[in-house]
Amino acid sequence: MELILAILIGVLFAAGTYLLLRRSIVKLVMGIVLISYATNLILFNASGLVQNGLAFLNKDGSYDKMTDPLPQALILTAIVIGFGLTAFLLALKYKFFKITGTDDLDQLKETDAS
Amino acid sequence: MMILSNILLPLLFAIVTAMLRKQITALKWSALIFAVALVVLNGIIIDKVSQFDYLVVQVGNWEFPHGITLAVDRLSAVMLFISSTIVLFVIIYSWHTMTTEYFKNYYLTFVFALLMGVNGAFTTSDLFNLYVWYEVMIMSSFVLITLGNTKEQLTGAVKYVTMNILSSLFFLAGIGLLYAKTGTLNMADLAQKLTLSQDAALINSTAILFFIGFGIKSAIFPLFFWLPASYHTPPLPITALFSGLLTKVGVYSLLRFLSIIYIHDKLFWQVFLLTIAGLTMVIGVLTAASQYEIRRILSFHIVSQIGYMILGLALFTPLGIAAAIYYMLHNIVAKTNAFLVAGLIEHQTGTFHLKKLGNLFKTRPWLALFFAIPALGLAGFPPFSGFIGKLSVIQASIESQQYIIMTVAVIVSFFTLFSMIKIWMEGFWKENQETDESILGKPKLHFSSVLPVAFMGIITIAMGLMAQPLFEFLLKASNQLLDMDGYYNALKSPL
Amino acid sequence: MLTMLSIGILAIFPLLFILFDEEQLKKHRYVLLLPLLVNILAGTIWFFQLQTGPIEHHFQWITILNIETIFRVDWFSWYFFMLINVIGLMVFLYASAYMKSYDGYKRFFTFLYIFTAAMNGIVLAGDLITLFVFWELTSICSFLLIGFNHREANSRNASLTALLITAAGGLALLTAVIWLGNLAGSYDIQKVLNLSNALHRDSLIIIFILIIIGAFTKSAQFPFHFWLPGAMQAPTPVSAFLHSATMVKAGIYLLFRFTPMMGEMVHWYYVLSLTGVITMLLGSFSALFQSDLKKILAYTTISALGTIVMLIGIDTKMSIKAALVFLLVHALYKASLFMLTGVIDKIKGTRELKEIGNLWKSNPVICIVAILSLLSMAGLPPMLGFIGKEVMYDAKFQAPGIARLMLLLSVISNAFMVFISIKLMVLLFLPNGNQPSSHSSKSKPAMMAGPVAFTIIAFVFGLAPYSLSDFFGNILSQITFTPVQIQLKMWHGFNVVFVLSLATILLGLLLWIFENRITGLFLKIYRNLFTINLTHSFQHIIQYFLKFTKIQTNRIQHGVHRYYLMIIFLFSIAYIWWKLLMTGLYVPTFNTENVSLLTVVVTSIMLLTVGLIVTTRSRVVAVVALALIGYGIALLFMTYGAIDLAITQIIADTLTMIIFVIVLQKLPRFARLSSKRSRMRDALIALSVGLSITLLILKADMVNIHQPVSDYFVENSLTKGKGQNIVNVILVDFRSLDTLGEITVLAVAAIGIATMLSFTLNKKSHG
Repeated sequence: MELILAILIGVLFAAGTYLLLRRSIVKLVMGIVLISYATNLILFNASGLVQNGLAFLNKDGSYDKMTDPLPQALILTAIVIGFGLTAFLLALKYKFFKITGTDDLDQLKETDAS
Repeated sequence: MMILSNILLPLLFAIVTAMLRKQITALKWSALIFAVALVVLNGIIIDKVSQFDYLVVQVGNWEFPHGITLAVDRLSAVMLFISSTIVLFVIIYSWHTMTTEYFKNYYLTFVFALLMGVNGAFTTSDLFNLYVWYEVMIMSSFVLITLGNTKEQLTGAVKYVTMNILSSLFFLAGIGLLYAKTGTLNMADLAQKLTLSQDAALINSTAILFFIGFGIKSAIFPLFFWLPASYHTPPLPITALFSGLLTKVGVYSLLRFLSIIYIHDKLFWQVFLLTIAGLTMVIGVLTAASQYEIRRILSFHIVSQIGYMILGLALFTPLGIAAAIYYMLHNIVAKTNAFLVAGLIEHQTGTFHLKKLGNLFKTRPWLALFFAIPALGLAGFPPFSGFIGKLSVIQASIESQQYIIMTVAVIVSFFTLFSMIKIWMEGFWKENQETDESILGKPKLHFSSVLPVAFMGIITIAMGLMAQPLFEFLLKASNQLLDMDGYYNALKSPL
Repeated sequence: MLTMLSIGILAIFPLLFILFDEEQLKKHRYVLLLPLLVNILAGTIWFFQLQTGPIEHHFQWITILNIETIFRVDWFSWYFFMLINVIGLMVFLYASAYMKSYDGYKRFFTFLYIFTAAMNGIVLAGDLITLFVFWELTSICSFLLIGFNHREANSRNASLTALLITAAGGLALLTAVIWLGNLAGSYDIQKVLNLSNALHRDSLIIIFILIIIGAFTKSAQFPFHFWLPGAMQAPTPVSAFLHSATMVKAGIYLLFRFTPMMGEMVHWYYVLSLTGVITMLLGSFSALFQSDLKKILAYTTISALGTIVMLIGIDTKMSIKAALVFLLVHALYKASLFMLTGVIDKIKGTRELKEIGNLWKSNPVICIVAILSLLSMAGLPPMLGFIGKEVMYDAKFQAPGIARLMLLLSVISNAFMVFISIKLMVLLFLPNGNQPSSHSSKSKPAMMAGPVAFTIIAFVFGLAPYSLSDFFGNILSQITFTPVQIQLKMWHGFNVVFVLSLATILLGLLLWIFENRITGLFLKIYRNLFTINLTHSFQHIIQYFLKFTKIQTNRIQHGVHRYYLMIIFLFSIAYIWWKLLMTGLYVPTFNTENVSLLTVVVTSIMLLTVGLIVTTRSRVVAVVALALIGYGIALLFMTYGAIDLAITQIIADTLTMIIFVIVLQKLPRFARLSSKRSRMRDALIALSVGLSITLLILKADMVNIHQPVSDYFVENSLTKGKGQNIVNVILVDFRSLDTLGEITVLAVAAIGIATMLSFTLNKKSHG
């Protein structure tokens, strides 16, 4: 399964990169979302996939099939943070379009070389 | 507890300033008091660290390395201190230069939130926790850089935000891979496990992801593009704040992280980092020379001077790292100061553009003095702080027999001088009809905007003339940074 | 402590200006001389103290870097110190009158004081770092003074050229200084000089090159000489002081100091004497074609500096002696001539040679003083200049190697000097048919004091040169580290040197007599030799440099966002691939242990959906596909036991989609903006990124350096964390700080978005 997951992550990364290299800001945001999915999966991969394993203890502290709970906690944090960032990025995108009237990233030149 | 309050207090201050935002006067004064309190707190921390070497807190009292361990060594302490000092100066400077609109729109809240992230990054020894503080920091900086929503700001922000998020994602991916390989998130624990392991070199491929993440943050070549594209767009106090804090967190992280893994692939890191350092210095300084807008010149110079810090790190000797830290401190003060002076120039003349400026030497001689100090400091003229920085970097290079990079560093400092002189010639000496007193009038200058400039000028001089105690401290800091066993033991069983 | 005082008083004195306004200061201008008088007094005290040996003061600066501030007075630094302060006294007196008509009187004297302090610092410094600190300070002061009339583009360009050249030399010097300090373990000049035998030859040569670059730039040696004529844009007192008598001698001071260490080197001999001789000839030859008085003096200064460097290069005791004597000679007559130029400028309102004339009638005093100084310059008796020239010829005649050739060239160069002296006398003082100008023809006593004093000194020493013998003997012993006795006489007897002197004067006279015929030929040679005007070339280089950086910047910081990202990705994959190849690729093993049909199906659907996002032109499809991927990931989480994650993922994903849809409604459709080729290229980069990440992950799965720290959580979750859901316990207990940060991020994002949507600055209130 690790192999399948690794391929999936690779594909997500590739698709994200491709979208980041497009000129549309919407695609850029989508690219970032895809790459952040992929990084979450990298963390998930680190917990050493155990099918039907749970990060739960029984009442007496015993457990049946345990998966590494730490990466899960990290992913949880990362998902929430990622959501915050994406939301901000979308708001920025919205405001940018409202003020400049363009979605084309190649039009963003004037703040660079003068 | 003191360390934890370095994170919790800014949070508290952020909340308080958010609640006070309608009462402008109360808001400003409380922010000032908060900032002073943080400076005092970090002063005490420096004192404690000098006594006890490490200040360690296991958050929630969980056994090391399972919980999050906050650890302050000399490097962290001095970075914490300088950051809160910069925040204090920027708050004073903002007093009259920022309009009430900004204060009403949570400007100070975001500043404190930013400081919370920065302080967290300087304190934590846990990699994932570092990621979280990075996010706090960049989220706040995203808001600050767009605060005001002008077209330029939004245009710059798109690049700034994208590349910074990308940097975080690389960093996070690195954490995932590292955890899969080593099963730990704590840097001291990681260092220990790597020294004990035979296969330590195997984490080098993972280290790339960290390097790219931190590299984008610290604006090294070829990952710096976001910086010159965006730094000059927000209101000046925000630019000044960013120039003092943000890239330096990246450099700090590189110092911290590489101190762990450098020794496991020494040759590679040395050659690689020296190349990066040289290119960063050269490209930054050449691009700066082409600019005619003061803020842009200064922004490109940030990149160039990051190169000097990377150079010190690349040498990886106690003197080299001490030189890198000294250079960083010098740069934080002098560069922030230079930006603030640029702000004064704009306040007096209405423009940042050299082609529209002129004659300031005659009409505003005090401004010339204020500018000369950080400018000569940045160019490395004696006896200002930059001279000691340059001297120690060259000395460290000679000591390590890295003559090529030494030559590059020396030549780059020549071009730095060129850029500074360019500002001087165009802005201060050149005759320009448009800048006549009769057209401009005399905008009232507030004490609050001059005070930080004067104060930072004094620091720049003092860092040069009284470098001995500071450099002694930094040399200890760099030895401490290189002492992995000491780090591990201090965190495992704190005093 | 006297050393600190002598520098400090000059540096601090300008602070008193705060008490005066400009007019008051002009009225009480004699106050300005006070610090220099104090210094001359200090020098007198040292004169007696020095009889018992050098004076030293040590101050700690940065001991941890071996940096210690040392001031040391020996005969050699005393010589320079007195030269600086005596000439300084006269120049300040002169300037106090000269500058009265200028704006920025206070500013001018502030710079001049700081300069004098720095110059004293250079010669009193006993360690290299202190020397360097003051060295750079003189460059800055020189920059500020050359650009004193900064409204004029010429002044600005000249000051920029001067600063860039001297600063470049300064950096070379700094490198040499640090290098030496590193080798010697100390920056103390005495300790460094003792190093010579222990040094590795290669590093010695590099250090030598760096030091001579520093010295040559400062002392205007070929090919760095061209900044000096430009520096004449400064007010005349500055030219007299900085650019002939003192600052340009700093480089020579440095060369003298390093003679005991490097004088033995073959490189030293050839580089110094050849550069010196070229500079000497170049200076005196170029002076022939100038018409501005100050320019003529500037080029003769270059020539004189070249002479001194050449003499140091020959490095026999005789030649060092000659250099020391010539230094004094030159400082006296050149300061005097510069000041007189200023006086003439004030009287006639011009410095153009052709326009002056007829001075003898109106100002005989000026003429007498000028003639005596010019005699000194021409090396004629009874002035000190004659002695200077005699010892120089003598030194070369007795020296081995190529010195004889240099002797010949020196005769030619000196003949030019004789010619220039005669020409100046004739053109300035005899009638030339010009109408006397309407300017006041009176010269101020304050402005004449200096030239008169210096001429008298040169005259007296010229008649009684032996009084200087002991003094120069002392210095020479110090420089060469061996006791030396020397004799200075006016009449050496009828020998070769005397014949050479006669020949020089004759040649000079001949040149003057046949001026009309020769000038044309010389001008041709001059034009052919100097097709490149270095001053202009330097300005061009700066312009080209600016143009180059402009192009460079547009290439690097071009503003196209996706290319920035592309470079970041390219850098990353190059780096990752290289590392992967270096550490070896792992062959992945495929284990089916934890693969279920469900996961395979889910993953396949996700892969297809990814393809859809990349290719679709419909925004709705893209958003829905993105959501599908999110849900797919949630399913994967669920399969491997991460229920919490799945729930969070679904919530976050759904919210993101909602925002997406809201935002998208206001946006235009996707346009296919990029060409097919660029899409292919991007796809290639993207695939490479993806593949490298996949390989990295597979590698990470293979490596297991240590067991994870998680067991602790499993053990302690219930007992200490009071919870069965370990993930939750980690979040709120074990890693509560992460959660705090996470909440902060969300809160900041929420307030930030709210602010962004509500707060837009109107242009007026910006800033």
